[in-house]
Amino acid sequence: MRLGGRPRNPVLAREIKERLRTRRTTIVVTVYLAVLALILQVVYSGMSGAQDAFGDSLATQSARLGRSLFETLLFFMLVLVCFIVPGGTADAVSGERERQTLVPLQVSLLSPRSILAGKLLSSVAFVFLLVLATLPLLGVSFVLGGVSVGDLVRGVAAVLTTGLVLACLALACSSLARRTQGAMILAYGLTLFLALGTAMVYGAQQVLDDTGRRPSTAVLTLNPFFAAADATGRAGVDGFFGGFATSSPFDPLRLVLVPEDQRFLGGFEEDFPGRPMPMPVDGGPVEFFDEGRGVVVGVLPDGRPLRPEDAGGGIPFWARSAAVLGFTAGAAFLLATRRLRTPSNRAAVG
Amino acid sequence: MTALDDLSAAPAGEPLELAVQVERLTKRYGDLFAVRDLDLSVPRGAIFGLIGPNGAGKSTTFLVLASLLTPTAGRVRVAGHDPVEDPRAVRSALGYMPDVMGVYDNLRVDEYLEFFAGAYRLPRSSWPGLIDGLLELVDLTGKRRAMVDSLSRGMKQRLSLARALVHDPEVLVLDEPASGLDPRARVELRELLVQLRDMGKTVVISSHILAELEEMCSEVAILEAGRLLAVGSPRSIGDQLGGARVVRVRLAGGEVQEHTVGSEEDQQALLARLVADGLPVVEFTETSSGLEDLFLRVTKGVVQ
Ligand SMILES: Nc1ncnc2c1ncn2[C@@H]1O[C@H](COP(=O)(O)OP(=O)(O)O)[C@@H](O)[C@H]1O
Ligand SMILES: [Mg+2]
Repeated sequence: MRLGGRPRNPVLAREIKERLRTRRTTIVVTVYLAVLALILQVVYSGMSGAQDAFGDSLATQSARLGRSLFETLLFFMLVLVCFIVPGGTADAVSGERERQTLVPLQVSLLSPRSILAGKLLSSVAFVFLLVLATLPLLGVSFVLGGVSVGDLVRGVAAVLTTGLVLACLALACSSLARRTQGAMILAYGLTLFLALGTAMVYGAQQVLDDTGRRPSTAVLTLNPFFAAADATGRAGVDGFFGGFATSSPFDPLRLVLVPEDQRFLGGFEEDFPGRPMPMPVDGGPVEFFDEGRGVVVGVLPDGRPLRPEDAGGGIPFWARSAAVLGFTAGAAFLLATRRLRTPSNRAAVG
Repeated sequence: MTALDDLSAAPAGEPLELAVQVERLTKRYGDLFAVRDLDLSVPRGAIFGLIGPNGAGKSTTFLVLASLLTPTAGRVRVAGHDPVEDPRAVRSALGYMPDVMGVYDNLRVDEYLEFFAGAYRLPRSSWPGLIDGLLELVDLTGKRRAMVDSLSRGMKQRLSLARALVHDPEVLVLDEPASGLDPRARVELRELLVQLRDMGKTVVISSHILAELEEMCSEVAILEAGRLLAVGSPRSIGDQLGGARVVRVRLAGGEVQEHTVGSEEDQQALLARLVADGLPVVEFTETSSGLEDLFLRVTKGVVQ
C-alpha cells in the first residue's frame, strides 16, 4: 500500500472501492462508534459521580477519569474488532469462489500472495479507519490526563495488531472452507478461542495444577486482550496510577500476568530498595524480587527457574505475545497462499 | 464449406507452429478418468473446436491448459510453455475464459477491465487506450460506465472475453462461451472470434452443441468420456469415421432408398452406379452431413 497515492495492489484498490460502495461499511462504522460513545458515556457518568472518594486533587481526579476512559475504550475497541474483522474477512476468498471470480484472478499474473495481501490490507485498512474514527473519543481521555502519547500509540498498535492477526486467521479460514458460511463459523470460532478459550485453558491449568506453582502464562500469549493489557500498563503500576485507583477492564488481566509479590510492590521498585523476598510457596518454589532486573523471579528447590522468563532475559509478556501472535498470523497467511497456489491437483470450482 | 477452407489457411510466409500441444494428457479423479490419453495439436491462427457432451472432459482439458490443474500424466504446451513448469509464462500468453462468468457487484465495466489490467501488471498509462480498444472490439463502448451486474448475459460474456484479452494473449481458451446466449448474441460472438483469428490469435473453443462451432472452426476434436474420438477439419471427420454418411435416394414413383457410404468418393461411386443401373433417380441427398448428426452418431452408444 502506498499512502497518499492509489494503491499498487489491484486487489486492494478494488476491495477499497467495493467497501466504500457498500452500505455494510457505513452500518459497521456507525454501530462501532455508537457502541463506543455509549460506553464512554457510561464510564464518564459512573466515574464522575464517585469523584472525590479518595479526597484527591482535581488534577488527580481528572487523570484517573482520563485513564479509565482510555482503558475502557481500548478494551471495547478490541471487543468490536473481534466482532468486525472475522466477519469482514472470512468471505475474502470463499466469496470470490462463490461469485466465480477467483479463477480469472488465478490465471492473471497476480500471485496468491498478492491476492491475499490485497485482501489482508483492505481488512487492516478498515480497522485503521475505525481507529481513526475513534481518535476523537480517545482524545477526550487524552485531554483529561493520565494518558501519555506512548500509551496512545501502544494502545492503537495493539488494536491494529489484533486486527491484523484476526484478519490473517479469517483469511486462512476463507481459503480452507468451501463456502463462506463455513469460513465464518471457523473464523469466529478461532477468534473466540483466542479471546476466551485461552483464558479458560489458563483457568483450567490453575485448577488442575496442585504443585503450588503458578501456571505458565504461555497460553495467554495467544490472547490479544492480555497482550494489550500488558502493553498499556502494569498491575500495581497503572492500577494505582500515581497513587490513585482506576477502574479498567484490563486490571483483572494484569493481575493474572503480574506475580503477586510484584503487584504488592505497587510498581515502585525503588520504594523497596534491595528487598530480597524469599517467599516459600508450600515448601516448593521460591519467589523473590531480583533487584538488578527489577522483576520477581521464581526458583524451584533444585535451583531451576520456575518460569521460562525467570531464567533471565526478562522478555516482557506483550513482546512474547506479539511474537506468538505474529507467528500464528504468518503461519495462517502462508497456509492461505498454499491453498491458492495453482496449478493444483484439484482446481477450485468457479 | 469453402468458407472453412479460408479459415484454416495459415498466414502466408509464417511457419506452421503449434500454439497448443497436448500429449497423452490424462487426468484422473480417483477411479474416474476425466481425460484419458488425449493428443491434440492446434496450429497458430486456428480456431479449434473441442466438442463433446457434458462430462466429456472439455473443461478439465482447458483447466490444464490454463495452468490451474495439474495433469495426472502427459503434458501440454501453450505457446511453447509448460503450464506446470512455467505457469507465469503460460498466463502471459493465454487468455482463459471459464465456463462461468462471475461478476463483481460493485464495479463499473471500465473499472472491471482496469482491475484486470492491473492484475496483468500493465503500466497504468496504457490503461485508457487499452480499455477504449477492448470496449470497441467487444462492442461495449456505450456500456463503459454501466455497473457490471446490470449487463445482459451476452454483454457479460463479451466483457468476459475483453477481460481475457486485456494482456493481448496469443492464445485464447474459451470454455463454452456460447452457452446460454440467444441466436443473435451467438452470431455476434462468432464474428468476434473470426475477427480475433484475423488479428493473429489462436482460439480454442469448446461446446456441447455442434451447430455453434461447425461454421467457424478450422478444426474440431470430438471428445467423449475423456477420450478423443476424431479430429480434423469438420469436413474430413466424416471420412475418418467411415460409413457415417447416409444418403437418401428417391426414385421416380416414390420409392425411397437409404445408403450408407464412407467417403465423398463412395458417395460419387454410389450415384454413378445407380445411374448406370438405370434407376430413375429424382433425388439424391446426404441426410446427415451436419456435424450435429455426425456427433450424435459418433457418440451414440458411448453415452449409454
Ligand atoms: N474436481 C473434480 N472432482 C471429481 N470429478 C471431476 C472433477 N472435475 C470434473 N470431474 C469429472 O470429470 C469429468 C469431466 O468433466 P469436465 O471436464 O467438466 O467435462 P465437460 O467440461 O466436457 O462437461 C466429469 O465426469 C466430471 O464429473
Ligand atoms: Mg465443461
